[in-house]
Amino acid sequence: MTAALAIDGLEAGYEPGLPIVRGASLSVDAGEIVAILGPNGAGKSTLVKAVAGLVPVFAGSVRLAGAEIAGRPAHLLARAGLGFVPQTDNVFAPLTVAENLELAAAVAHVPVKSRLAELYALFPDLEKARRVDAGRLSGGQRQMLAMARALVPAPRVLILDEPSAGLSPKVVGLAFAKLVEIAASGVAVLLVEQNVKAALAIARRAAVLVEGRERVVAPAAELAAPGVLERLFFPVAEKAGA
Amino acid sequence: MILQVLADGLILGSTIALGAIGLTMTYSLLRFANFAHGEYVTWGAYLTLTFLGFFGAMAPLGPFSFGWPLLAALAASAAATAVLALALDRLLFGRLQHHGSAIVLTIASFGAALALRNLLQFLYGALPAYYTRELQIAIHVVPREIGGGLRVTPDQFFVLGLTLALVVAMHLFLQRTTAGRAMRAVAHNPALARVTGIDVAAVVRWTWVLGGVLAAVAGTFAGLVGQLRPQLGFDLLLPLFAAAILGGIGSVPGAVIGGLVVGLAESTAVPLVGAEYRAAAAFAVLIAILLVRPQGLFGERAR
Repeated sequence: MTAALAIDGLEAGYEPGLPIVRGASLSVDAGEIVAILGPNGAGKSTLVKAVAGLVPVFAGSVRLAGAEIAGRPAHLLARAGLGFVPQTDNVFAPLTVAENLELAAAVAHVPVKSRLAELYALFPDLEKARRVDAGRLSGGQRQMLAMARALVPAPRVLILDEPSAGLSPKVVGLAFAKLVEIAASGVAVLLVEQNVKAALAIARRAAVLVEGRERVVAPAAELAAPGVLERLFFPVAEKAGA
Repeated sequence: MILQVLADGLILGSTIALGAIGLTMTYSLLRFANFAHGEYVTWGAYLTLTFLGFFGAMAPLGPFSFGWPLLAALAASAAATAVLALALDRLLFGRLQHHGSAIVLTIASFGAALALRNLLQFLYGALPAYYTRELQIAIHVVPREIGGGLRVTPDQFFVLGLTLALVVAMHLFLQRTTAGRAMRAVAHNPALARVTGIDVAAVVRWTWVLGGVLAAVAGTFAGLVGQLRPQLGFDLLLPLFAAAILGGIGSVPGAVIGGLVVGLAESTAVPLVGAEYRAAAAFAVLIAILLVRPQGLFGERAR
């Protein structure tokens, strides 16, 4: 079976000659949740931004349902079925909730009314707040809107950059429950997370990224065992302690 | 007298408002102050004059000093000014955007403004020009006994009416249409706009087109109720910036209100402190408002 998203030997960064992502490889199947974990500065965000077309790709391949997409412009990737939820500033604050979603539907050429009805069924809170400016939403509602906005074109792959950042534990639980629901509908979900415990609780597999390359890709249950992640995140400390 | 001053201020403010809409939109999308915007106003005014020459003799339309040829010339000039704005973006701003900072773009726009103004003066000469030599009889709208009376020419009514129509159309465009919402989205967050599927480069092009069209209309209005001079747009530049900043950068209603406030401040300054200080009055109002609301009347607070 062709993976929904297949990253192979990806090198990417902001300045040519200074790659932050250095040969990362990873794949996500339809209906699967894969988490990218790793210490600060490992290149997790840069990796997903490069996949989404926001950061220049220097080498390697990214395939969306088998089609090569590495280095293609972000707006074409969004229309081709790759949804991306940035970590911060991920809604259009001056636009209302409904305008955020209608705009995404209009540019993706999907029927606005029926698609919004489906998304309001998935996120009932958004329907209640549909006339509110997105800038006035609570942190949790904002994250739901950001996810709904990315889901408007019915993407094959949904990528989220630290969706739990700044949210209360209760709201993280709600947001991650939605991700499980979204994956169950057949969407491949790839998320970068600092909140390791919450991420491993919903992910089938996880990749540990260190210095721009995956150190290991393993079933989430294996990585959740005590001490495993610490050894993978900080190999130097382990050597020093040995 | 007070009514007349207010009416004069609104008419001047209409021209400033139309110019300021384009300025505030390009500023919020491209994040640099385009000093060449005033020259789009001048070029728009003179291009209307040129197209008017192509369309031949003009029979006045009803009470106005102009006929259908002026409206046709205005439409052609609006299209040509949009092309001018696009060309400048293609040749200059678009190239500098990739490796230049906002200050580089601003200084480049200053240079472009000088080049455009001198080219215009070379082509058209420095003497004032007029669209029509028809005399306009001002209509007594309010008798002298009430508030000093109010006299308005039909052309001035036309300017106010078309400005109002254009402002309402712009507002509906930005609020209701996909293209308008996409412009607001790109102004707010270009990266998020891209991952939402919006072609940011296309949105930027459309913004230049709109800015050019409105500048051409503003210039033609200024020429219609006054005269055509090569300094027309340059003299309007500071009021345009004052209006855009006063209203809050990126806000179209703000640019319109800002334009009217600046126009009114200038016209009320004339009987109070004399015509030579009218520009200073506009800036005194600007400074006073910014001290109270640094983000402008409708602007978002800086993040």
